[in-house]
Amino acid sequence: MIEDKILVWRFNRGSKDAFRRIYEKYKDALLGLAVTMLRDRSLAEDIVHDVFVSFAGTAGTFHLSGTLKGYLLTCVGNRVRDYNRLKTESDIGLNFVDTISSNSNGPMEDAISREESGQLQELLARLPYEQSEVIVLHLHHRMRFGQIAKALSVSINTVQSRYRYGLEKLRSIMSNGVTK
Amino acid sequence: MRPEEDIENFVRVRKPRVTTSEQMDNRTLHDSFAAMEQTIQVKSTKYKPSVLRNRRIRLVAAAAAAIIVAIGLFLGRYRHTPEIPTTEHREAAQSETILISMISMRMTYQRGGFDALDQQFRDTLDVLGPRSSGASMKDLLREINGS
Repeated sequence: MIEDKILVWRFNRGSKDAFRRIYEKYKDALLGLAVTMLRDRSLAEDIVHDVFVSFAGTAGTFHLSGTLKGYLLTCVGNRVRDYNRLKTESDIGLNFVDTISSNSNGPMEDAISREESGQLQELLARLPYEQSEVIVLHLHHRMRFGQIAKALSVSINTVQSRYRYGLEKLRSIMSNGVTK
Repeated sequence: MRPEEDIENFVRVRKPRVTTSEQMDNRTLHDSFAAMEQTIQVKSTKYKPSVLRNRRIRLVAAAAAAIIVAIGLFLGRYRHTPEIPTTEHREAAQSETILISMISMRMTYQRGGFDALDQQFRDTLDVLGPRSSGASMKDLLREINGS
């Protein structure tokens, strides 16, 4: 947190090293979120790229009110939402199988991880975007409900409701045996 | 454990382990640095403060600095009067001036964090400029206030 404040302070003074450090620190988390929500690796990379370029354009005027990670994750979430609004449903989710490139724990582990993540992405795609977004931010990125509420500019009750309904729906989908 | 029994755990363990490619890193950093440079360039060409405004800020800052210094000196003297028992002497600051600066910086940080500190640095540089640090308080006050 303190490190992020200092990085932002240096970034606002035009430090490329500070920006590089921010990028290195959060790039994988941001890409993970985008991949989970979009199920398309190349599109996810484009979105993370755009978020960082846009963030770089705020050098000198950027004001951090919450956490930097929360801010960047929310930027990715907003862009994914905008993209989904524009895109028709039939185009979504054609190449999710190729989205994961892990840190190579062995071919068997990679295959299992890939299949499991693909399964989760399929399930999340069946939820309303707002619900899956809250679930992923909370469970994958360990953001507290209060942080998510602040980042999304909604009340904490709304965030908790989205989370609860999302989990219930996931449970219902899985218990109905829709997914194999 | 079946997924239905622990849906949160089911989601948690299926977090995708993705890493960015070197190609993506290069492209993103290159474009981001370009965006940073452009922003900083635009800012530096846009920033033309009016003389009047600058002068006002200088006067206000100088007056504030003079008041803070005066209060600090007054308190410093008052502390050494025999009526008030002095606590254990600590060499935390080498002089009253440094101590006042430290107090001022701490108060500023408490008020507005790094941003407020940064603003104070800027205001200080605006007022004092590249003057010698050896200049006495009296000389500085006379020079800044013009009297």
